Amino acid sequence: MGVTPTVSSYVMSLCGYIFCIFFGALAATILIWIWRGKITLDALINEANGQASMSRFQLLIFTFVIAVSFFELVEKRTDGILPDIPQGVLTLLGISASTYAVGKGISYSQPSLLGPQPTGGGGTGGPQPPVPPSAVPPAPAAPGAVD
Amino acid sequence: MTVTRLLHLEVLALLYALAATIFFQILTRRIQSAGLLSQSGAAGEVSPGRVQLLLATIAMSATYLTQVANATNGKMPDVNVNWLYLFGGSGSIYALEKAWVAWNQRKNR
Repeated sequence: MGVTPTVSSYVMSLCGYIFCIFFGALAATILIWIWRGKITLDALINEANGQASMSRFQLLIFTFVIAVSFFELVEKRTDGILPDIPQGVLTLLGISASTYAVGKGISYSQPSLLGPQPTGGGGTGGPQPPVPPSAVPPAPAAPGAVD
Repeated sequence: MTVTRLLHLEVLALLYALAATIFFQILTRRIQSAGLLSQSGAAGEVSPGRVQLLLATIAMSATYLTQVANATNGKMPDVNVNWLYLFGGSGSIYALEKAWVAWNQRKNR
């Protein structure tokens, strides 16, 4: 029975190291793919019309500020417990996310403000010419549809 | 080195590397930041609502990071309620200005 704790702690430690290797490989893969362009971030702070969005930029900054603060503070703790997130910080993130959501709603409620969406070329381009109604093929009638 | 310490360093390294990558890509214009401070649909016109939101964001972030740097007990510092009012007002001004511009463009169409 005295052997069991040693074996279990050894297995736990091994699992921890395996997870560390997995997480490190995942992080390295993400960073390498970003640098090689397999993960594109060129529209990270863009609105629907291709213009940069201040609310997205703000949410990005706050996410990094809070995340870095959290992990820096974990290092200062001696009890090994994760720090509690105060109510004010949650409210701050809520305000930031709400501003982003409202801005996104306004952008998408204006079809005329919606510029061209990138179609894989990566460019934002200018406004696309309108498609005449005659150029749009009629949709096939559903079976059983009544005129 | 313990597993928790290793994992902690990995997460911090990922966060800092990701932040540096995004900052570098913004500087080299791979991440498009054109029009960050301009009004929608009005090329070149600086929007006061966006400028004040940027200033509020920078001020808030700098204040909070200073508090974190000065924290010695490992507790996350709380945000002062006055800062929250300021920040809520700033976000509201930005959203109202955006809605006003969108409404005017729809009316003039």
